Amino acid sequence: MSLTATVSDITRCSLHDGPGIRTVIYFKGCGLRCKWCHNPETLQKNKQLVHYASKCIGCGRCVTLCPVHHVVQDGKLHLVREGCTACGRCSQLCPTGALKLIGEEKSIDELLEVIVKDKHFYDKSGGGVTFSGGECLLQPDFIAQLAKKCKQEGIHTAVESAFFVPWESVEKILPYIDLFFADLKIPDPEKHRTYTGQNNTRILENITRLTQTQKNVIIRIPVIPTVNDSDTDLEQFTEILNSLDKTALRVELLKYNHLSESKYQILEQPYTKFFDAPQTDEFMRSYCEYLNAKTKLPCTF
Amino acid sequence: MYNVLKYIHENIKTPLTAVETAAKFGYSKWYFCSKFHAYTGKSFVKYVRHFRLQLACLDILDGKKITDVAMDYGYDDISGFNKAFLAEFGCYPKKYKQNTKDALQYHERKKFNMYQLNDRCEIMRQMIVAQQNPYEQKYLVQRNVHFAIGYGEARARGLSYMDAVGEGVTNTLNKFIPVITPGELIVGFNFPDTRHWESYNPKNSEEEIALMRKNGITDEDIERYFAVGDLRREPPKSPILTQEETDSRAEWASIGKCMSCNHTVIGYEQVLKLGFRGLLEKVERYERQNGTNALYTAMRNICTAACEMGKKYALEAQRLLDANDSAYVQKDLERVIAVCNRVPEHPAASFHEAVQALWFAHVVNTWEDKINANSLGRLDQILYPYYQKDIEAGKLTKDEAFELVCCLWLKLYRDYDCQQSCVGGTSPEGTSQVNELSYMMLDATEQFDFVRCLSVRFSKNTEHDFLKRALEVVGHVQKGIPFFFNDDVFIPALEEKGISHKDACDYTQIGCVETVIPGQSNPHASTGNTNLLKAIEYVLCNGHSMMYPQYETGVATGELDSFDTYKKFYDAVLVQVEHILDLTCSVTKKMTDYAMPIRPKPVKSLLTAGCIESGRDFNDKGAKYDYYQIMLGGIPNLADSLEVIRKFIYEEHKYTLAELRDILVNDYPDESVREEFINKAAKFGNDIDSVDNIAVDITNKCCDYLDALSEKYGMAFHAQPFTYLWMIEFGKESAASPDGRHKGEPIAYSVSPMQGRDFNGVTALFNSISKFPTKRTAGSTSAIIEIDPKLFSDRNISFLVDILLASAEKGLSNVQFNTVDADTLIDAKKHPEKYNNLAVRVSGFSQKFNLLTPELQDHIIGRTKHSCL
Repeated sequence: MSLTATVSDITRCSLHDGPGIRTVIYFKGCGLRCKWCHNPETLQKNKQLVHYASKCIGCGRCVTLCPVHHVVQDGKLHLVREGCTACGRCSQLCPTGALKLIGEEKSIDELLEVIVKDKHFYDKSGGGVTFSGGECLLQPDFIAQLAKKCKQEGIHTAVESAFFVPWESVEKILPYIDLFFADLKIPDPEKHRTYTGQNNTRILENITRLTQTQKNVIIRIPVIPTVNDSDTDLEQFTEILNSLDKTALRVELLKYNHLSESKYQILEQPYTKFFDAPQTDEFMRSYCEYLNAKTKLPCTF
Repeated sequence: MYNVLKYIHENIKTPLTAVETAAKFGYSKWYFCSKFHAYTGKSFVKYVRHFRLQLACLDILDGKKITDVAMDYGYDDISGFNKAFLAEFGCYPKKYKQNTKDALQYHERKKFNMYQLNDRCEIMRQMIVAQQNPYEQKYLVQRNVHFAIGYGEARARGLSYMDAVGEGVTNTLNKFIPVITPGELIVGFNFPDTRHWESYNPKNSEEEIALMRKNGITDEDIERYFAVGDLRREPPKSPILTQEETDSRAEWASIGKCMSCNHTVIGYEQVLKLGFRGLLEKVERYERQNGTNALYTAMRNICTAACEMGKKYALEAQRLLDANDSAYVQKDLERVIAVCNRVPEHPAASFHEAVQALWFAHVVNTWEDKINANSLGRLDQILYPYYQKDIEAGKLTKDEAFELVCCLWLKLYRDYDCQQSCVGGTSPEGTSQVNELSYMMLDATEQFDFVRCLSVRFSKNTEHDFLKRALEVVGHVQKGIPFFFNDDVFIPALEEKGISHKDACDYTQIGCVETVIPGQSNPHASTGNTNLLKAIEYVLCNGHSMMYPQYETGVATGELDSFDTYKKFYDAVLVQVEHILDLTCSVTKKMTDYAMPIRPKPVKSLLTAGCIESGRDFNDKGAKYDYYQIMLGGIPNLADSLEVIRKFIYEEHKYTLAELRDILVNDYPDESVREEFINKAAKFGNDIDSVDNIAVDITNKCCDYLDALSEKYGMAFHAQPFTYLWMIEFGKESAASPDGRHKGEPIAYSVSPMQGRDFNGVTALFNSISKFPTKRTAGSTSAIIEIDPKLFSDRNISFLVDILLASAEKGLSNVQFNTVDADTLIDAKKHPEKYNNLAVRVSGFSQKFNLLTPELQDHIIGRTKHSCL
């Protein structure tokens, strides 16, 4: 099989991305640019060099190899990113892993090999594999083929997606996916554009069509303080949810936190803080109970 | 949810609402209610009402006024209370009061899957935690003085070692002064270690003589004790070793021993079924048949003395009763008198007698060669028939049974305690043997939070609820107990070693994790220990130790340039591994031959199948199964090291073997090279086949070698990939290794990955350790896994059951969990005073963190703490 995809990470033994014990595969590349993005290393399709400053022991191997892009100032390593092609030779040489290339080309069989390793854990716990990202549906053929092979192995499959993709992409994977996580970020189209770079018309169309297939769908709402947690947002979310086919639909709220800040640091990108303290459990609970009461959908956080 | 129930029970007399309770535990109301219902089968309101009424009716039965009780539990008027009571019990309170008390409390508690400590046990628990046992020294001095007198005087008279041990035990039995602690229902002491190591012998000083007097030793006995002098000691331990054997021992590469003392599980059932009177008759029968010898004489004398053991306690109880001592409860003493007048002389006729007889038998066993790791074995199985009979006959309530289990538990657990017991298991037909006592023992272990030694046997057929409960205990107690043994690999592994299916199914553990067939085997637990990582030193230095170049402790496998392929290098490593094992086995053989005549064990012989029948001592191959466990240490580091060599030297040609040798001799002068070796080659424990398979192949080869060595030395050697605590010493005596380990740094524990080198998550780690050929390693293939305490939450505990069962199918052997996070441990190292009761899994046992050496503390802090995302 000649198809490959760029994978930023594989997490085994995840308990939060679908039922049971799961392996989660994060694909690189995304069509949205949400300002609060939790996985900034997955946005670009290309490989990216990251720098874990705390791991650096100052051995100087990278400077010797590539003095143009590796400069020592005040005894610390600085990357000159301009003109760096992320060839990855410095990360290969770096003994401690302080320099690391995010994004590995993986074939379907390579990924399948990792997925299958935990099959006995999936079987016992009702788990499986979850394709995430980034936007994994940017590579629908790859996902479709990989998911098909997983199904042949008897493995439960799930997809986490923002659904900012052509419907045809969803259609391709539809037969091989057991569970969909659909991100619903901001109900208002214009506000959606402000915070993510795109309006949400296509996303809502896709989610509507997806629920009509009566596949298992879990709508995930990341509750971001000051962005989508007002009463108006809540009412609009309710409206959208009520317009969907509810046969196999559930809602999950995600509490937003600052854990991704370190990821911005290693990418050496600015991090936008929307708030100082995360929402309280009480707030999340009331949000949850409101949606539950108004939509009659099972709603958890 | 467990904590929620606890909260409800603690606050039952205050007004409780679902909303407030949910908020307290951070749940939404709806989620909380559905979860609560799923867990208890009742709505919150119904549950609280039900529980209140249960407690209220107990108060009523206790004689409180019904109106007061109603007020106590928040009822404004009596008619509301009466109505609720009628709905719950089908009658009014007054009528109810007339009815009998029954096993009402039990009925309620069973729903929480939990028996509660009663006041008696709680008070005794607190005394132990506060280390306030005024009788400790009494226990200690008694045994050690009386044994020494019996043993030493026999030696002085020119009698054999067998006679001497027999006299030592007999004299202790005849002379000891019984002590009954207020509150205890199971009497008889063994030894403490809180203030004195158990082999403490009083010295001839005024102070220590005063101590002996204070503890009831007569002046005449004090004189006799000092008169025997050095005769109380065994002769010097070591036979003559070769230079190589001596050097190898000195650098902790191979240490052959004969573990002939205090590592057993004896056949308690014999004492329960026959009593020492019946055993005496059995000994006499075989003595007539086979002709007399010193063993039979010793066994007879011990049986005769042991018959009186219970009566001495009965007399003491009677004395206390007559003295009207207010510290004691009359009824307790009467029970002790009734039980001790029968056991251990006669067969046990009740559950109480069975527990007492078992404890007496254990005490006699520890009087032979001290406590150390003399263990108890499958208590739930041994005691169940007695429990069942009493319950069916209505002679015992479940609460009473639980109280007796607690009274036994209170005996067992001191600072360094590895008197191991085991619950659960699989019958020869393959069915689960979990019974009500198994649950009770878990409950006792959970509530006695000082307890540190309990194992669980499980198989694919074990009830999920039981495993869940056992894992809950791990999460609640947070001391790494219980630990888990997979019957589906241990039973076939033991069968492969010639043990019958039925006997293999009865296996249990000694001390830490050593496998024993209780009452039928002399397992010579942890007899030989090896540090296989040394093989790398020997190959790189052509047969010399790298750590101590003057030692020629390896095989000269050739100059470095002769290893032009990885295969040749690997083969040379295997030659060294075989050599290390051979040295260990040869010394073990010498030690065994040496120990056999000087360390006879008449008590163990009495209670181990085969010995009475053959008239041969337990340590003279008298046991039905006689085998020797050889510990395989350093396998994870060896695999990691070989992977580094394969990759950097033979695949990438980045370094030569000579360069590598120089790097290691100089202990990594360039840190970047060490980092490279750590980070740029695969490491064991991450489910990466290239390196995991090296570990597996080496273990397989070790099993082959041990099979051949069994032939060579005429002894059955069992592979036991287990390091006990010696990963610290092995490391101290080892040069830097290619896996990035510094000179002197501890090696990995048993088959756990090198500390901090596993980062692919729990499932990957379990996969790695499940690859070992565990059906060939009849000794434990032991692993400790550090898990984030959050994983033991109610939500996740069933995932842990799944992980455990899935791994067991793949071949997981023994696993133990640590559940303390790194921050806590680091803080505990800095501020020991804050963490007196903090204990962690160290090796096959748990220990209080404060009592560990700084090296061990660091080793444990360094282990990867796993969580799930």
